[in-house]
Amino acid sequence: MSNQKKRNFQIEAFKHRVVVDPKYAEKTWNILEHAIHEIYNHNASGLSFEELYRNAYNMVLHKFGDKLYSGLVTTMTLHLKEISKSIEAAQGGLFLEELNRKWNDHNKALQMIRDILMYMDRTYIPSTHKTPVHELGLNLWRDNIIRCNKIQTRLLNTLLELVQRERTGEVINRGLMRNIIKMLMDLGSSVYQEDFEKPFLEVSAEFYRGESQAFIECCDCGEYLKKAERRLNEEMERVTHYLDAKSEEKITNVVEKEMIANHMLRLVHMENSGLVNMLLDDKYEDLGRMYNLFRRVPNGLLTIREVMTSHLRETGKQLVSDPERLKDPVEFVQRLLDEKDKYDNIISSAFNNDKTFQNALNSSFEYFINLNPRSPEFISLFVDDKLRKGLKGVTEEDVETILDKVMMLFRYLQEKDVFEKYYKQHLAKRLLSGKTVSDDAERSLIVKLKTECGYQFTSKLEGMFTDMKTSQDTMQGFYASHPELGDSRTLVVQVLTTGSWPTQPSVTCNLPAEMSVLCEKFRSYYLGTHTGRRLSWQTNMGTADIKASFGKGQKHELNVSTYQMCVLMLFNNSDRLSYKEIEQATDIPAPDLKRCLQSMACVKGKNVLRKEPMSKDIGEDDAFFVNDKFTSKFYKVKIGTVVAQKESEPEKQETRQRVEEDRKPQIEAAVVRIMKSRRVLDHNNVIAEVTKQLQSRFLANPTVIKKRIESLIERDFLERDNVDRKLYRYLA
Amino acid sequence: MDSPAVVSSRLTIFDIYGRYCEIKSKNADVCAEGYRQDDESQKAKFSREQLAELFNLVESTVHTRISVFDELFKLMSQLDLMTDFSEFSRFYDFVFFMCRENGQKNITVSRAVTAWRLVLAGRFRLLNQWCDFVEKNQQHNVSEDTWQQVLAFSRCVHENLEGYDPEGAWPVLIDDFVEHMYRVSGSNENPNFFCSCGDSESQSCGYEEPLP
Repeated sequence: MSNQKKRNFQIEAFKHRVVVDPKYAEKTWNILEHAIHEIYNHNASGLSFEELYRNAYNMVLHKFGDKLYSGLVTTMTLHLKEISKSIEAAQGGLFLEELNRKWNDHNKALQMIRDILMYMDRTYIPSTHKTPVHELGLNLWRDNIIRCNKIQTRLLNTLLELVQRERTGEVINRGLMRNIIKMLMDLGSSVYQEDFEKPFLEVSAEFYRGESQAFIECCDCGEYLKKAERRLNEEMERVTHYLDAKSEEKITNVVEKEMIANHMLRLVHMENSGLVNMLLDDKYEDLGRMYNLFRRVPNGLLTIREVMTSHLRETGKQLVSDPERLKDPVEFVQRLLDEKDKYDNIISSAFNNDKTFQNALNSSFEYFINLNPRSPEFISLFVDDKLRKGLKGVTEEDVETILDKVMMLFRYLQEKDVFEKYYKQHLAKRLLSGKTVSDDAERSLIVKLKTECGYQFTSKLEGMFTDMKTSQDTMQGFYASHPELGDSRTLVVQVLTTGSWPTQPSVTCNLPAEMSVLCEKFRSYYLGTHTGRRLSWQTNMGTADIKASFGKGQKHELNVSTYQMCVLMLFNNSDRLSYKEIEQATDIPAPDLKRCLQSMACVKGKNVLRKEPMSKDIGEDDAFFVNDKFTSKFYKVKIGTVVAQKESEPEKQETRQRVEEDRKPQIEAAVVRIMKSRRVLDHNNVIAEVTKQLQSRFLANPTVIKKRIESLIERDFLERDNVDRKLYRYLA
Repeated sequence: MDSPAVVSSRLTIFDIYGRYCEIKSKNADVCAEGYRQDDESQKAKFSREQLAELFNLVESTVHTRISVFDELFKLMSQLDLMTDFSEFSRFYDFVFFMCRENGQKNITVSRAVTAWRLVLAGRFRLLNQWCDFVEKNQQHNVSEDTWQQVLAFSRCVHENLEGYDPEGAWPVLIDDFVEHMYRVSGSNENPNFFCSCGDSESQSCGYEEPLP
C-alpha cells in the first residue's frame, strides 16, 4: 500500500502573518498571568474572556504552549502557597471553614482558568501528554494544601476528632464535614482512602475495641447487643451523611469484628443472660437482635445454632428420661409439644424462619425423642387420651391442629412400626368400648398416617373401622330375623376380622346360660349368612351392663367387662363362692380372673363383692359374697374400666418381642428385593440399602439384618461368593 | 444312577469322599470353563442334586454312624492335607456333609464342636475358646454357611483377634464370639483391631499355606 501513489489532495494551511515580535510571548503571558491573579483575587469582573481566550489560543498556536503551561503551574502554585498560609493561620474551629471556603474559591478560579485555557486543554495537552488544567488544579491543591506538612495531620486530626465527638454524643456540623470529605473524594479516591479512610478505620477499630471491652465487663448480653446494634446503625448513618458510600461496608466490618466477632463466644455463653437464658425466657427481641447481628460475622449463626442445639438436646434428654415425667404419658407428650411450640415460635419470631435453624430443631427432637424407647407408646397414648375425652367441646380446626402436632412428633420417631402397634391396640380398645369421641377426628388422623406412611401402614386400621360398621349392619340383620328377641338388645356382637385387630388367641370362658343361648343364635345366624367363616368369641374384650339390686334394695346399673359379668351372674344362684368354684364355673384364665375379682372386691366405691379374708390381693383360698352394703352416689357404676394405660414391664417386653418378630419378614423381604435387582452385592451395601429402605418404618439393627441374611443363605435364597466372602449372590 | 442296593454294602468313607470330590470338581470345572450364567447356575443346581443323592445314599447305607468321626479321622490320616489348602478346604466342607443327619441342612452344636476339634486341631489357635463358646452360647444348629466361615475366620484372625473386621460380613455367631473374647480378656486395649482387616487382606490369606 505504501508505494501506491497517494492521490489525496493536499490542502494548504492558511498562512497567518507571523508575528515577529520577540517579546510577544512574554507580553501575552503577562496578560494571562495578570488575569489569573485577578481571578484569585475575586476581581474577575473586569476581565474579557474573549480576549484572554484569544491570547491563550495564540500562544499555543505560536508554539508557546510550554511557556503557557509552566507559567500556569508556577502561578497557581504561588497562589496556593498563599492560600495554604491563610488556612494554616485559621484558628481552632475556623480551620475547616477556612479550608472549605478556600476550596470553593479555588474551584471557581479553576473553572475560569480552564475556560480561558480551553484551547491549550484541547490541543497542547493531549499532544504533550500533560495533565489537563482541571486535574492539574486539583493535583496542585492536593500537593500544596492537603498534603502540606502543616495541614495534613491537622486536617486528619480535626476530622477524626469530630467523628469521635459525634460518637460521644455531641452534635457537629455535618454539612461542613460532608464538604470536606467531598473535597477529599474529588481529589481522587486514593486521597480519600489514604488521607482519611484508612486512619479513620484504624481509629474506629481502636475505639470499638476499647468500648466493647468496657461494655462486656459491665453489661449483660441483651444490653450489650442493644449497644452494639445502636453503634452499627450510627456508623451506617454516618456513612450516609458524610462519608463515601463505599466506606459503609468497611466501617461496619470494623464494628462487627470488634464488637461481635471478637466477643461472640463470651456473649453467647454469658452467665445468666447468654443465649441459653434468652431461650429459656423467650426473649424474642434479644434473640432476634442476636440473630441479626451474628449473621453479619463469619460463623455467627453457626455458633448460635450449635449452642441452641446442644441446649435443646440436653433439656430434651432430661425431659424424656425424667422418671417423674414418665408416670404420665399424656403430660409427657404435652411437654414435648410445648417444647416444640416454644422453639417454633422462637425461630419464626426471632430467627427469621431460618431453614438451618428449623433443621437443627428437627434433628434435635429426633435425637432425644428416640432416646426413650417408650416414646412411640406415649405418643399413641396421648392421641388416645385426646380422642377419648380431650377433644370434647373443641372446634374442628383445633382438633386438626392437635392432630397435626402429633403427626409432627410421629415423624421424629425412628420406630414407626412400634407406634403402629400401640396405636392399633389403643384404637381397638377405643372402638370396642365405644369410647371414641369423634369419628371424624379418628379418620382424619388415619388419613394423615396414610399420607405419611402409605397404604400398607393404615390398611389394617381402616379394616377395623370397616368391621365396626359392618357389625352394626349385622346386628340389625340379626335382630330383624329374630323378632322374638324384642327390641331390647341384650347381645351386641362385633365381628372382628382376624389380622386386622390386635387380638391374641384366647380361651373362651363359660358364658352364663342366658348369654350362651343368644350367642349360639347369633352364631347360626352369622354362619348362615356368611359361609366358610369361623367365629370364635373374644370374651376377654367385651363389656356388659348389668342391673343389680343389693341387700337393702339399692339398685344400680353396673358397667363391667364380660369376665366380670360372668362372675357376677354366678351370684344369682348362690351367696358364697370360693375362688376355686368361680374359676371352675367360668373357665377364665387365672391372671385375668384375679384381676377382675380384685377390681370388684378390693377397690373402694366399686366393691360390689365382699371377700374373706379381707386383703388387697386375691388368694386361691378366698371366698366371695355379694356386698349387701354396697353404696354409690351414682346409679350407674363403672367397674374396672378398660382404660388404656401405660404398659407394665412384662407387657412392654411382650410388645417389643412381637415388634421384633414382625420386623423379621420385613427385613427379609427388603434383602430379597435388593438382591433380586442387584444379583450380586457386598455385605456392607446390603446392610446400608436395607437400612435405607426400612428407614420410614423403623431403624433396622445391623445384627438383626445379618441374622436374616444368614437365614436366607440357609434357605438358599442367597449364597456367598466362593472367592470374596463378603459378596452375596442372589439365587433365583 | 446305580441302584443303591448294589453299592451299599461296601461303601467306605473313601468311596464317599471320592464321589464327593468328583461332584465338587465337576462343578468347579464348569465354572472355570466359563459357561453362560444360566448354564452355570444349572450346573450348580445339578451338582446340588447330585450331592443330595449322594447324601441319601450315605444315609441309607451307613445306618449306625456312631463312628462317623472315627471314619473321618481315618480318612484324614490318609489324605495329604498339609501342603494343599484347597484340598483341606474341600475336606473341611466334606466333614460338614458327613455330619448332617436325617436330611437336615444344618448340624447340631455337639456334632459341630466335635468335628471342629477334629479337623481344626492345630490349625485354629482359638479352637478351644471357640468350641467352649459355641457349646455354651449357641442354641440352634450350625448352618453350612457358618461352618464354612469359621474356616475363613480361623485363617484370617490371629490369636489376639488382630485381623478381625467387625464390618467383615462374619456370621453373627462369630461376631458374638469376638465380643465375648474382648470381654473375657477385659480389654479393648487396642481398638485398632476393629479396622485392621481390609478386604484384600482377608482375601489374600485365603490362599496362604496353612499354618503348621
